[in-house]
Parts: sequence; structure tokens; C-alpha cells
Amino acid sequence: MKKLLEIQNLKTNFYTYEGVVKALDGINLDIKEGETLGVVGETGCGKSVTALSILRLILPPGKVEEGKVLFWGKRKLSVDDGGVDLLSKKEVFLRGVRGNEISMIFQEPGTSLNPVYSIGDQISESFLLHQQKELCRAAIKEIEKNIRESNFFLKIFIYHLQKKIYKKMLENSKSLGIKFFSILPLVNRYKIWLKKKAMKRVVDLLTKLGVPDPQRIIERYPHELSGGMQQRVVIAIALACNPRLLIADEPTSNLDVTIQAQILDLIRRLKEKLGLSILFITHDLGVVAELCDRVAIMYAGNICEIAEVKELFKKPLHPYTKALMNSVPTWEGKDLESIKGNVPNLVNPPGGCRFHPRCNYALEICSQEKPEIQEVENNHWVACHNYLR
Amino acid sequence: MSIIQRSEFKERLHPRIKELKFSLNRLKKSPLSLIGLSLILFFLAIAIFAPQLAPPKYSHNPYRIPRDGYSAIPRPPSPEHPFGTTEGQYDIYYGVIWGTRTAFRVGLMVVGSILVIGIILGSISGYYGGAVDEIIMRIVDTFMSLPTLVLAMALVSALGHSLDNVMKALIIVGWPSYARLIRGDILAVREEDYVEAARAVGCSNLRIILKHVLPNAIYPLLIMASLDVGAVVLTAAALSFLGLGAPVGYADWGQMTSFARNWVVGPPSNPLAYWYTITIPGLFILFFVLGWNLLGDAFRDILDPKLRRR
Repeated sequence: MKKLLEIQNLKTNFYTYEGVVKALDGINLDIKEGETLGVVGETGCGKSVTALSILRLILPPGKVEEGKVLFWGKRKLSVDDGGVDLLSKKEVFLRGVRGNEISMIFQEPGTSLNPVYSIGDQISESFLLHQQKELCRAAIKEIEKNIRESNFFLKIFIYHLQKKIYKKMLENSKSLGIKFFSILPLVNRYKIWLKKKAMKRVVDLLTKLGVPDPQRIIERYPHELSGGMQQRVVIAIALACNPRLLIADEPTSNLDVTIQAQILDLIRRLKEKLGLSILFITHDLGVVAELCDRVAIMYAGNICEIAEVKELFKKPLHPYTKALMNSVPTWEGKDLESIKGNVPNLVNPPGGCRFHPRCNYALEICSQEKPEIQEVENNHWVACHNYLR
Repeated sequence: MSIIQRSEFKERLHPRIKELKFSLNRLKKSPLSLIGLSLILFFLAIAIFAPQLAPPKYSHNPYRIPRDGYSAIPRPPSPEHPFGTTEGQYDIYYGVIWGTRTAFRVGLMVVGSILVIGIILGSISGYYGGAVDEIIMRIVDTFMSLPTLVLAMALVSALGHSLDNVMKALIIVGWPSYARLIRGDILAVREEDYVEAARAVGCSNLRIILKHVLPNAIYPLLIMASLDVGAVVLTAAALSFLGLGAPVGYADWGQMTSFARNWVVGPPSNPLAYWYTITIPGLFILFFVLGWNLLGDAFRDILDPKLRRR
């Protein structure tokens, strides 16, 4: 399968008062087309930072220090097809990628929706940002239809004016004239066509996502919806422009189990229908087993194991993965094992393998040298000295 | 077809009409805000119908108060001068009627400009943070460390005595507190998840500030602004009283009180002989400021979502 995204040696630091937090310590990861990659790890191991670094949404005091994020997007940009390095591109280019080609679902649906706008407004924003041209064309068609149908000369005159504005918008949406018109009251009523078209798309999208009664939902405000419905709206915003890659940052962790199942089912169906690739961030191994094709296990800013999901559950290799599996409750009623020690402080992480102070299989070399991730078996990558040949 | 459109239109507007009705209901429930509203409407009517209520003598400059002679001693109310005349025989009735226009002009223009400046600087400062924030906020600190009235007086003295300069001075003195208030709210809203989500959808910074941050942060500022219209008029009147405001003979409440400075207490035999010189302009100022303060409270009740749904 073709690669869609490749992360090479990504390092992200946070410059805090206490010192430099090395949140990501050179991770390598790739996502193939149509694949669901799960990223699992405990709180604070750098899962969300990975997601934010991909879209370059890390805000100061954080900074992406090194590495490449290669992305093969809708637009062919390079001749040799080596992908586009998102980290070296300009902010304007990234704005075109965010929401359009790579979009993101956040943890808390309740707080990731703006309380002062209706659902319809929030979903249509995505269309208005990334599909302005298509919307303009549709609006022009609609206006032309209205010109043919109406018989009041003043109305026809206004329609003609509006059509002119839209034509101008198609040519150059950033021209000063358009900006000026969009501020003028009454004149800026031409925008209602754009809005109408966008709303129509919103309703179509919500219907596709199986939201009951979308016409009423788009007039609601976020606080009037239930958690599951809010998450569906967030998913709708993310999928509005048919992105290639969906980053889901613990999309189900704040929902109750039945809603969780519905949302997971929705994500799986959408993935099949749209051919999406998904980067699924979670700490719930059950969800991973349910949804993902491949899994990457993260610990303290490093990736310690990558494998196919079945392989990983059958035969975990890295000591941390094993410990993680043992700490999940099973129906057999086995005693749960906890991992001894604490998560390391990332300001001052242990040398060598960052897991070695807590590891039952630690060798002498573990405290001195950081293990590189290597393919131990077919498609099973591990970063552990125990398996290095 | 148009009928269908109208009903559709009505349906679409329905939630807004409902909200408006709710707001009016809230307004009706508190008598104080009704008093405030009616006071402001009353003054608004005076300002609008000033040419009818007090036909100007000098049509090219209606704000000039006509005078009836040059005697210094005020004259009591009479059929020609319903509120009497003040020092220099300026007609008090004419002065307070046209002074209402001046008061509205000063209050609304000063507060409007302060709002614009405060919002722009405050949102840049709050949203971008860092060095920009540091610079703007230190400027704000500098302004706020000086007493308002003293700074305004100094500015007017430096710029020259005129009503326009009073307004400029009040704007310069007033914006820092607005910038600081909006900055604080923006600092809080900036960290919300929906701002990050907006960034992840591909919004530019300008769009995020205008569409996502400001609408969530602006209400306290609007309430403060409505409360401040009265306060600004009061300060302007104080400056005029101190002789720093409008040119002599300009219709302005502050100046009317300034004329009355020597006549607050009459001769020992009749201390209240010249009561009208100070009381009438004073009452106009009092009710104008009171009206705005009550209206500001009403705005707070309506706009603040936490108080609104009680």
C-alpha cells in the first residue's frame, strides 16, 4: 500500500520554567492509505503532541525541533513524489491542509464547539474556508435561476449585481473590493447565497452521518445537544471537505459506553465509505483491538513497538507492551499487575532506553544506549535491546 | 411565491424574535431599567427636537446660546426665559436643550472610539501575547498610574481649550482600562478547545480573533461601555466646570454649571435667590448620568448569560 504520511525523526520540545520538556524524542511513524493506525500510551507520553506536531499546531512554549512530516496530499506538489514536508511549508499552505486534507477530532466534543454559533454555522465554516470556489459557482447558478424566474425589475437588478460580485470572487477572492463589500451592511447580503449553498451541504453531510432530523439540528446550539451528538457534529466538521487523513485524539474517552460504540461504528463505516486513513489516538486497548489495523505503542516520547493489531495482541514483544497488556482487566478474573515505578519526568528523562528503570528485563546496555526501532519479525518493529541482533 | 417566502422568513427569524421577546420581558420585570430606558429616550427626544423646542437665534451656529443683555447678575425665570438667565444673561433653557445634543455627542463618540481602540489593542495583546502584549500592557500601566481627571486636564491644557480636545483627552485617558478588560477575557477564551479546533480546521488568526474569540469575550466590555457613557459626560462636565471645555457661550451643561459658580449661594438675606442657575443644569446632568447607569444595569441583565436565565 502507498504511504500517505511519514513522520521521520520528529522531535518536539516544550520550554517551560522547570526546564526543557522533551515531549517527543525522535519518533518514526508512517500511515498508509486507507489504514487505521492506533497510537496507544499512557497520559503524557506524547500522543496528542504527535498529532498536533503533524498539523504544526504546537503553540509556544512548545516547538518542533527536528524531523520531517512527509505528506502525499490531494495536490501533487513535488515532481519526484517524495511527499510534502509539512514542517517546512509556510503557514498559508498549512491552512489549506488543515481541515481540508488532514483534519482532527478533539477529545472533548463539548468544549471544541464554539458556544455562540449554531451547529450549521460551525460546520459550514469548513466549507466556506476550503470550498469557496465551488460554492461560488453553485451560488451563481442559483442566482441565474432566480433571474429567469423573477419579474420585478429591481430584484433582477440586484441579482445581476450579486452575480457580478460572485464572478469577481471566483477570479480573486482576496481582492480589496470583495473585502470592502463583505463589510458593508445591506450590500453584504449577497453572502446569503453562499451561506444557503453551504447549509445545503451541511444538511447532506449530516444525513450521510446518520444524524436524525438534520434540518433542526443545524439551528441548535452546542449546549442543546447530547455528548454523542456533539461528537457527531465534530466528526462532521472534520469530514466536511473529504480529508485524506483523520486524526482522532481520544474521540470516545468522554462518552459513555453505548455512545462510544455508536461513534466507533460510525468512524469505521465512514472509513470504509470514504477510504479515509485514520490516526487513532487512545489509551484504551479494547478500542484499538476493535478499530485499528496497526498499532504503535508509545512510552515517554518514544515509540517502542509497532505491529499489526492481531500480532501485537498475540505476541507483544516490548516489555512495556507486555506490562500494558497485563494491566488490562480480563474476564478470567486474573490479578491485575501494575507497572512499578512512575512515569519519568520528561524534563530529565532516564538515559538510554527511557523505560529501563521500570523494566523487568533490563540489561546493562539499556541504561547507556537508546535502542533504535528495528524490524524484528515481519512488520513487527520493536525498540528494545533484548531483541536486537 | 412571495407568501411562501415570507412564511419561511418568519420561521427562520422565529428564534430571534423569541429571544428578543424574552429580553423585553426581562426589561419589563425590573422597574429600574425601565426608568433608565425612559430617561434616555426622553433625553433622546429632546436632542432630536432641539430645533423645535428652542429655535436657534444664530442659524449658522445653533450651539451658541443667545444672550439677553450683558449684565452679570442672573435673572429668575420669566415668560421669555422659562428657566431664567445665568451669568452674562445666557438663556438657561436654550443652553440645557442644546446641551443635550452636546452630551450625547460627547458620550457616544468618546465611548465609541474608546471601544474601537480598546478592542483592537486589547485583542492583539491578549491573542498574540509575548512581546506585543508586554509592550501594550506597559503602556496601559503608564496611563492607568496617572489620575484620570488630572491627566485629562493636562491634555486639554496642552491641546487647547475646545470641546473636540476634551473628547480627544477623554479618549486618550479612557482606552487603557478597556484594553485591559478585553485582554483578560481574550486570554481566557484563547485557551478554549474550540479555538484550537478552529485552528485545526484552517482558520487564519484574524478570522479566529474576529469570529471565535471576540464574540465570546466582548459582553463584559459592552456592559462597561453602556455604564461609561454617563461617566464620560460627567467627566466632560467637570472639565467644562473647571473652564477647560467648550468656548464661552457654547451650549454645554458643564459650562452652564460653570457660569453658576459665583451664584450657588445668594446674598446673606436670601441664600437661594439664584437657585435656578445651578439646579437646572445640575438636574439635567444628574438624570442623564442616572439614565445611562440604570440602562447599563439593564444591559447587563439582558446580555450577561449568567444573569439572563435566572
